[in-house]
Amino acid sequence: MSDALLEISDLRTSFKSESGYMNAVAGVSLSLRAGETVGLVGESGCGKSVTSLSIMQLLPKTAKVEGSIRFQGKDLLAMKEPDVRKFRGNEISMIFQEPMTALNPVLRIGDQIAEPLRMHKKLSKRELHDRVIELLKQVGIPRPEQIVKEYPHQLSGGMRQRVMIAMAMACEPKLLIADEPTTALDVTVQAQILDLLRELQARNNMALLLITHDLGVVAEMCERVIVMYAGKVVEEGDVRSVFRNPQHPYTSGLLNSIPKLIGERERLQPIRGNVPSLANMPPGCRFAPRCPHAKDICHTNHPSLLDVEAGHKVSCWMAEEVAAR
Amino acid sequence: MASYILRRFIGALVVLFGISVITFIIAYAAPGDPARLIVGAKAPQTVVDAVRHNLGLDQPLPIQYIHYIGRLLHGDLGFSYHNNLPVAELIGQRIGNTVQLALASWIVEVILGLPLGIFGALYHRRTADYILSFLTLVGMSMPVFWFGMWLIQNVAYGLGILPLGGVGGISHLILPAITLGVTNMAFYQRLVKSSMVDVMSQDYIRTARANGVPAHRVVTRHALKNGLIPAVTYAGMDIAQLCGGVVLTETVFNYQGVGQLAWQSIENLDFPVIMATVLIAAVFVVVMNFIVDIVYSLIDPRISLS
Repeated sequence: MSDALLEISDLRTSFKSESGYMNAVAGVSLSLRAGETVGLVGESGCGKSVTSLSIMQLLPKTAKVEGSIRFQGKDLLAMKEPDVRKFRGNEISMIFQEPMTALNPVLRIGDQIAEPLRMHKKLSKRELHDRVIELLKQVGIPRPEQIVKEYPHQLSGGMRQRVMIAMAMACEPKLLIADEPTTALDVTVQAQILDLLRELQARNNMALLLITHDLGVVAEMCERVIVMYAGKVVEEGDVRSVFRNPQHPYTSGLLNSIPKLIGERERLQPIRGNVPSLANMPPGCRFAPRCPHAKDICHTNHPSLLDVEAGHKVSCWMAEEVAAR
Repeated sequence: MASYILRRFIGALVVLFGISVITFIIAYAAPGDPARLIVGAKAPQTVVDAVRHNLGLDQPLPIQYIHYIGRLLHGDLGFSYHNNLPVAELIGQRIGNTVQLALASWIVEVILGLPLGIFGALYHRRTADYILSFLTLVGMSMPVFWFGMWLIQNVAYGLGILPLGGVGGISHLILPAITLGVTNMAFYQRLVKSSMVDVMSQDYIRTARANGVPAHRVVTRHALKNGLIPAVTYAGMDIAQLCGGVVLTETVFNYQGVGQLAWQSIENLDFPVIMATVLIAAVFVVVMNFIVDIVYSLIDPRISLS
């Protein structure tokens, strides 16, 4: 996999607590090629945000991150803080779920967008200003000359998310991690923001790791999808292949809990039960307690991630049985 | 903006009017007869009555108050019974000293409290933070008169490098300013620490870090302005209080300021001076509150004055 832009292998992120370390991410491996869009999906608390913050190393000091995260062949986890900083906001950028709180209330929009440029590029004041205006135009903000002088509270949520995107795009990163970028926005604004992300991605040949719980967004945006459950990858593959032929009961469960507008209306089939707590993980397959097909082995041993077809992997004992036949 | 200032000004007048009424009533309800005090214990009653009449003290309270306010509006703070000088002159001699000491003390408080507060926030719940919290608690708990005297004995007298007390130049300011600064800085330290701990966990700090901003710049450029807002509130009250006169410190250092004057006037039942010192302290509080509101609007763009 020499063409991988980002290659994460066996990422384990744990948090120190009173009763020892809690594994929020338990051995996740994934990779992204340049220019590719990958969706990382799962319920709240499945470790998808922790995975993204592990890449950027933005977790609090109580977190322990192990494994390897290679970006363009260099292991980010082996680097010292000042070296990691050269990647943040420069080669790898991130946008967050809450545009309302992710911008600093006491700094002008223009200054905030200029911050990554100040950190990573040597530009004159004039060039800086021009670049900021250009970025604001790129993300479709009207009156950029005025907006640079305004403060976040003067903008709507959708506009603020555009500002966040402009900030993330400032240094033309090779990878953009978008953590639930549209969750906090109105539906109409959501579509605009997704369109904008797609357009910017195509223009800059940027890889996009889209973290979401919204399978509709994945279907619309992504080439590949990675499904996480309780800190582990349970299924990954091309969006078409995974959506048409989900192998893991959890993936099928997620797909069944989307309301259908076409065809006969059926009752929604929610997944029973709740995500297990970090302190109390089942010893075998982590989905076993909620799985309608669970057998004895599911409760005792964890299945490995297995190829079911080209580029489509699943971690489930049912798939292993089929493969063994 | 203009209408805001006008509204604040009218509000300030109401506050000052209220304070003048309250101090007037308290001063006259206090035991002791100023006329008797002026003429001495052995003077015949007729003399006392004459003095009372001259001072207008034999008139009903509301009439006395109206006379007092009338004079006040003409800038006349009255006449000190004890010093035989106009109150305005007495205060005028000392207000400069008090303001100097207030500013010097405030600078010491901020120079100590602000960085230590930021430090405490960055090392929150680590050993360094616990040690620092303990030390600031000690500083906060030291009585001003004890610490002041300790400094006089060990630094001024022991080392012989600084004056023992009195006023005159910067050298006379150092010890009283340190006394007030060390005992008061803990309030800034705690305020700044708790607000910085809160600010450092905000999403926009994560955004700054995600942009590759180094830790020191995250603090100075992205966090500090947000973290200072509670300290500004306190600074307003603090400066007003210091400018109103610090009775204990000025007394310990024999520093001729408004605080010492207030204390002496209370001892001598010198009502016109007592009322003037209270009124001046109130003016400082009102003015500082106004300045604090303006500073708020400068720090935080979400707060507007209109």
